[in-house]
Amino acid sequence: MTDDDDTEDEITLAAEYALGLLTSGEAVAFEDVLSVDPEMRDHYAQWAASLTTLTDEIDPVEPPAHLQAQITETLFGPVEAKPSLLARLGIFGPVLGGLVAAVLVLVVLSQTNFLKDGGPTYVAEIAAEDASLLVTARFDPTEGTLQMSREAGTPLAGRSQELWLIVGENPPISLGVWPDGQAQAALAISADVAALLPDGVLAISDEPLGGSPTGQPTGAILGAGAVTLL
Amino acid sequence: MAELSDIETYLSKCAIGDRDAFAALYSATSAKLFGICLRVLGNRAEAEDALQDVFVKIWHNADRYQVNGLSPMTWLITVARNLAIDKLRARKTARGAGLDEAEELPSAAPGPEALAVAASDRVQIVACMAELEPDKSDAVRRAYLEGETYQELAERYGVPLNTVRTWLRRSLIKLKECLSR
Repeated sequence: MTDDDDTEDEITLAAEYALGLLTSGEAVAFEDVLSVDPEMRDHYAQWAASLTTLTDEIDPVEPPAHLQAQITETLFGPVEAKPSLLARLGIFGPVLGGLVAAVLVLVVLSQTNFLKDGGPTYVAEIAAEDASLLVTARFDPTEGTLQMSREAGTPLAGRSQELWLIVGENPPISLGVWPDGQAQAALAISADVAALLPDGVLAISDEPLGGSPTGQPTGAILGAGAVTLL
Repeated sequence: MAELSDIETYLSKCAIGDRDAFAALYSATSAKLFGICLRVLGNRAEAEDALQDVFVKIWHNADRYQVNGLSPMTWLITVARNLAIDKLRARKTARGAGLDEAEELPSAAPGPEALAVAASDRVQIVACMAELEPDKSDAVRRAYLEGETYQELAERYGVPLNTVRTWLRRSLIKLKECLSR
């Protein structure tokens, strides 16, 4: 046999393999060659690339909507119906803790006579489960500001802390970056965002200096707490 | 439709377990791959089954795809086509083929390592198919899109198995010459 014949044999064999025309025994033998012979691999690769263009004429068809969920479940196991961002962040515990702690905040705030007239006042305690972060927040409707006080948890060196409002499944809304070196902060809140406060959770994340570069939390969630009506 | 480079990005993220990238890959490619499964299998229930297998396989093999530097769409289409053909053949076998016949059935889809394809090698085959005699190009198409075996092709064209093998191999050489031009 000449070299040309050899090459032709290799080319047809690769094509037969790509088309699925070999018997299982032949295919296994071919795969053994394929794993050690770069030339054969090349032949096969070219056939596969060429043959897939035969599918260009096939129109895409949208698969039924339930299929994706089914595939996801097959691969990743059953999921609770649409876990919220909070659940995914694993901060449900602190949120519940926040609800309990909020009662405490209410008392503290009442005693210090923070209350002013002008609409509902909301409070939240943003806490880490291990108490490494503790921030109390109070929305002042007359000023349109969120008054914040950090009791524990200064930012890491060269990092900033950013405050977020999370409502249901929606992407977190940035309320601002904690001013450097301050224990107290007042963040201006627009009326639109203030309207979302009653249903929300406040969370603080660790971000690069100056805040998240993406507009969404990029670092660890340091603490979270549900907003409650004072 | 997502750009090719997007699909490449999704696949490499799938390889490191990024489920969001997997969801994005699904959105970008499921209609194309479902279309292929549907074309091969001809019924929705089986095509849905096949598509599920396809994406499970894609998720599990996305890391090997990355290592081998494959052409993303060729790999995805090949996975879909091969799994759909496997199902089609399983159906045919279940419908009463004897053991002897089953032994002669071509093997399952090639393994992922075998699916190495460079994007630059992607060549339009359609024009070259047109250069073949109609029944020859028809046979290639039937083998690829309908998974027909030499045996089935021999029956279809009413010629001995060895004859169909010989003329199909010759056609493949011609096809290759045209594709290499």
